[in-house]
Amino acid sequence: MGTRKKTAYGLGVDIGGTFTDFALLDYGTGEIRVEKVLTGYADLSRSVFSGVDALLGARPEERERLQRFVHGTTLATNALIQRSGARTALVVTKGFRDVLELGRESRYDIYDIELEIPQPLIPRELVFEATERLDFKGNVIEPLDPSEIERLARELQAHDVQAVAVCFLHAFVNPQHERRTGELLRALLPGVSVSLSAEVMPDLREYERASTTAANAYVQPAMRSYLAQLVNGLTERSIAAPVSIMTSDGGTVSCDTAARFPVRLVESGPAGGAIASAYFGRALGLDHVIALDMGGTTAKICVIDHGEPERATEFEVGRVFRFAKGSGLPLKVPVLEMIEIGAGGGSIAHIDELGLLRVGPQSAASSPGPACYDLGGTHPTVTDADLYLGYLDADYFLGGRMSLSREKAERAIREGIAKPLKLGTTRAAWGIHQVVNNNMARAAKVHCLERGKDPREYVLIAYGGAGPVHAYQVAKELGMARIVFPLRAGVMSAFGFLVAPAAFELIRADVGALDALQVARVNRVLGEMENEGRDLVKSAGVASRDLTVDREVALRFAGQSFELLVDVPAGALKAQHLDVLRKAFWRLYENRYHKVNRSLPIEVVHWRVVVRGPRPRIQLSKHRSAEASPALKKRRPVFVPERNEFVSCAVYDRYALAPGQRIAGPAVVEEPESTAVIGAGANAEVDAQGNLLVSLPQKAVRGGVRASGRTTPV
Amino acid sequence: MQKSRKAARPRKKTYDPIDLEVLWSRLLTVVDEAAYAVIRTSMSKVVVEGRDFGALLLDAEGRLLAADVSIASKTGTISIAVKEMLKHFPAHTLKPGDMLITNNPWWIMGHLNDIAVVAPLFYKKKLVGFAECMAHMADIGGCLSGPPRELYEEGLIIPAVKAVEAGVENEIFFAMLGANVRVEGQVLGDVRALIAGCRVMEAKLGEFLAQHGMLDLDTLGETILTHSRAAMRKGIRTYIPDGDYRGHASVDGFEKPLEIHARVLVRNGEVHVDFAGSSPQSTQGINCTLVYTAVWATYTIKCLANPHLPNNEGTFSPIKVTAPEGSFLNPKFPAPVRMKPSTGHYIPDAIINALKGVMRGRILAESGNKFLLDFAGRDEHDRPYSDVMFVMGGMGARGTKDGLHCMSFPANSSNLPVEVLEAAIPVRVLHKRIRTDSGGAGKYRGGCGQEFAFQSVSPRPITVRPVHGKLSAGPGGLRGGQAGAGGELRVNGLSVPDKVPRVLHEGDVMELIVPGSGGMYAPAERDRDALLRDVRNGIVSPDAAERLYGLKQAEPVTSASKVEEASR
Repeated sequence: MGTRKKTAYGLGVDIGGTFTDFALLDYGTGEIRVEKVLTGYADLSRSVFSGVDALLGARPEERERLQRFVHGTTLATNALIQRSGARTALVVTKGFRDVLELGRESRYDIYDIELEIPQPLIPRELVFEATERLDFKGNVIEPLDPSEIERLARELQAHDVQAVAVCFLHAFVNPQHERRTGELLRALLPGVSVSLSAEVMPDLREYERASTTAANAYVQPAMRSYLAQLVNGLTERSIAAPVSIMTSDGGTVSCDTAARFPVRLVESGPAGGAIASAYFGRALGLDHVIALDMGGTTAKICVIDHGEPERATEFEVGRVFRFAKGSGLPLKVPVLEMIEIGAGGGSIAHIDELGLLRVGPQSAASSPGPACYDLGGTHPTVTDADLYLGYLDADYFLGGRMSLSREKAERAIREGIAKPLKLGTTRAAWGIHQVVNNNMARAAKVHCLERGKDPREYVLIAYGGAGPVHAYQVAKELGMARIVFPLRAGVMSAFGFLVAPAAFELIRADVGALDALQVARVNRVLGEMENEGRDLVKSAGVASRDLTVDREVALRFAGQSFELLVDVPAGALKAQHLDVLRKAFWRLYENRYHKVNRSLPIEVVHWRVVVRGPRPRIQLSKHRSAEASPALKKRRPVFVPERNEFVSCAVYDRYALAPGQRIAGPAVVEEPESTAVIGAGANAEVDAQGNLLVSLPQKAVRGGVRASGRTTPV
Repeated sequence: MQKSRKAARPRKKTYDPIDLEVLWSRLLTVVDEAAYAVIRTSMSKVVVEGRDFGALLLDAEGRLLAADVSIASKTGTISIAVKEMLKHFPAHTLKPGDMLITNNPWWIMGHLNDIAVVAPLFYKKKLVGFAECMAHMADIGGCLSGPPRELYEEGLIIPAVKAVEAGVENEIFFAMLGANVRVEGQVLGDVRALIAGCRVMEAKLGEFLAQHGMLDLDTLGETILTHSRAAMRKGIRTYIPDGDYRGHASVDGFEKPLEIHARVLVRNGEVHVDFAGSSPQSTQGINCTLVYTAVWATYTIKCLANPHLPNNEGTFSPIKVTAPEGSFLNPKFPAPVRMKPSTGHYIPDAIINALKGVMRGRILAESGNKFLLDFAGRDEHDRPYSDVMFVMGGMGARGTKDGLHCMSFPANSSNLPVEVLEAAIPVRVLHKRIRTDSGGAGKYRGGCGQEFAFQSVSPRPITVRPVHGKLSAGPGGLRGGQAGAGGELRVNGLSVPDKVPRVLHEGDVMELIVPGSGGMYAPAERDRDALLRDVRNGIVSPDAAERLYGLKQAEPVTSASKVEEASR
């Protein structure tokens, strides 16, 4: 054994709300070991080290084998949601002190006069104005006064701020005033984090840019010190692997880059899951995949075409009102596009003002949790219904780490739903399951519609604690034919980190007519962006020759707000390329919407450059079933909607299933972190890597959705 | 076995609360699909970006069953277009593929720019309902150089006509429409987008009915309407005690103010709002047709009684709205109506004024509304530009919360970012800031309005028409709360009336001083920390804090850092 060549390890570590997940991959054998520890909020790095120590032990040989360490953390997200970030000031152009307070001046709910809006991260008293002005072309109308900035620095010091955000009007066109302000503040206020809008997100629209820059500044001090702690701790353990940090758009960056742009890390966990789904989609040869990640409080849905998750340039953090779109803080950062809805295991079922059964968005979360946790919760939740219906095992929740009370679940459903609606408890429980599935299916459907996509052409990949329990009915409602339940659904994000390439995406707003484009200027802008991206990705340890650069331009018809991304040919752009861009835009537009009027003027909105390292190549080992235990654990009564009754169903142990094994639904497949439900008439097969591939019965798909079939009580 | 199962699945007579929730939500998806079809086929900014359109599903009698919930802005609309058009085209004369069209302001949203397309929906050869898709057109012709005195001057009037007959477009109609508008491509494109929306609704409704083994929408529709009606009645009974209440509000109007008188009769879950005694119709385009008056009256009652109900005829039916014919809230044809929002947006104030003493739940003080600005001119290349933007006032204090700064109520819209405005129109914004002390004092403070100033930087004239409804007096407070600050319009420092086009030359400055909003309950009851926070943040001046809230000047407005330290 001592003579065998030691192959390298890669470790993905995802700090989540409740657990910190670990996936350790042996690049030589393709084997994966996983670990889960409770997240300790007092000191996040301690949770990381306890998992590292559990997986690698104390032996230096093992620790030296670790060559990659990829990390994602909810630190930034928590700071933004809990408002526990640094004392931060904002400096803006004179006359525009209220950019954060005013926002877009619109209500996200037109009827609810009690609506609440998120308070800005920076109170008005810490917003300061600087004399300076640019016009929309970037010409200086009023120069910056350095002595005023020096006075301002003293004032900021008196206010004891730890971070400063700077956002001047039109700074994305000409950053010179912001840069000069940054230089002066950094020199005069050592130890204070300074974020400039032109560096954090050089995009049009002052409110969204200021909000993003403020968020970056707000979380920066905490992120800096956390990352320093992390690196120190790893060094103490003689772990020399470079630390990569996962970003919200599914790439990884170096620690330094992460510390400069912490606002880019906010959605790293969910991005890891989507990247893992994209990996499975590619590995299984699936062109169109929808990832469903259903956890305790929300469900996230991501559409993945040809192995690439959909992207967006904006999302909201910390929605304050019923997860309503518009009730959070907008962040302009590259993200993988995900629809988030208030549908999780903890979502509470209730009766609405119409007397109908609704589920969520209110959640019992993990405290007090669903009634069946027996921790004081009395409201019926999705998990209570899942337990009552036999989809979950009271004695095997989280692999048996927690036992559930079927009695408490039943009482909550009976008292909270069945009695007031005058229904049987089973009907009420199935109703909860049905309604939450319908919510997810509807959100996915509307999302697809908006993009001109047909969900029936997609395969569902389900993970997260509750995803595999609900995937079958969601797929059925969407008319999908197949579902994939990947192995290790409980650590998907951590695994996804290991298959994410080093990458950095840059966006530079540049609004103007395509016809009037000055090619020389565009080449300069693209060159600058590309150089910046190359430097950042190289700093994450990627060799120059391994870099790939994708360049795109966002185009739209003048006056419209829908923009489409068109590939920009490599090399220096020439005047004749404009026609190529125009035609590519028309083609994309016609694919997605309808035939276009070719005389309409086209506008450039922004340029986008993504510099990527190579996608990590991994070869997963063949799944070996745990032979010691039989695959068929037992049989238990499970509610089968197609037959409107409880049926004794086979319950399988996920890890004991051998590749090639087939299962006919209805059946339940359990693993410690989740349970996959396979409906009546469906067929499932275990593939070589241990993934469970489910085919829905043709009838279920073709027949489409039926409100309740025969489940209505007579 | 198989047979008996099928036999056991006939049309249901009733739905349990779970089936109903699932079916209802899927029916809304049918309407959403139509709405997305409209967006995806439209080419105009008003529809695509402003989302100023709506998709409605009505039953075979023309009663609204479902409106798209998440996408369009015209969800609260109370169109009577289908019912009115059926008088001209009786249901039995309609064939699959027929599409009716109108822009009659007395039937749809109250001005000519809104066009509605109505299609009968057939399933298995039976008329099962109607699709109605409507949108705000970028232009409808008419006179733009001066204020119209008659509807005829406001643009093309489209009576109830068949734009499409059995799937074939009526060429004459499209040619007439195209010839009468300034942007033919956009308008014809948008009308075709509405037609596409109706077609998609028919196809998707067919799929929905087939999937659920239904032959029509009769039972489901009736159930939806019954549930909604019961829920609205319950909301009214819970929050608005029975009684006969009177309230009023006034708006600036043109030469003289217009009075809105609202009598609100509440009886056992039903509300009748009558506007008898309101001012006669105006010669200017600030009249609200009854259907538009009803939109805001119904909106107000829904906000107060049960805001989260879906929009359908059941929800609206317990609310009856009347106004004397010939008043500006129910004008006679051919009254001009183009600037209806400048009066219609104050209907909620009159109703809340009537109910202020008795409301048990939600309530809000008067709001500062918003300025609407139309820009038009020619750029340096002599190309015409035009744009619309909104500048918001404060939203009134609520029963248990402060009002919101610069948030328009009752109509909702977004501002135009300064960076976008400056790139589109040759102006430079000088400042955009919250107006200190413009939120009415109270236990719950009114939201503040704003000051917005811009300067022309173009050597060519820019025509700007700023429209607001009420600048002369501040929005009133409620239950002891004080009024917010009123507003003003200034050009080069001089106060001028609004609703009149103004020509700005290079260097001219226009200042909008947008009203704040009213406060709720006596200022003396305001929480001390909340007051000190307002003073620190410059929302309330130290002087006003002393004068209105009785905060002694000597009382230290603790410095920010110390407060933070203490709270840490």
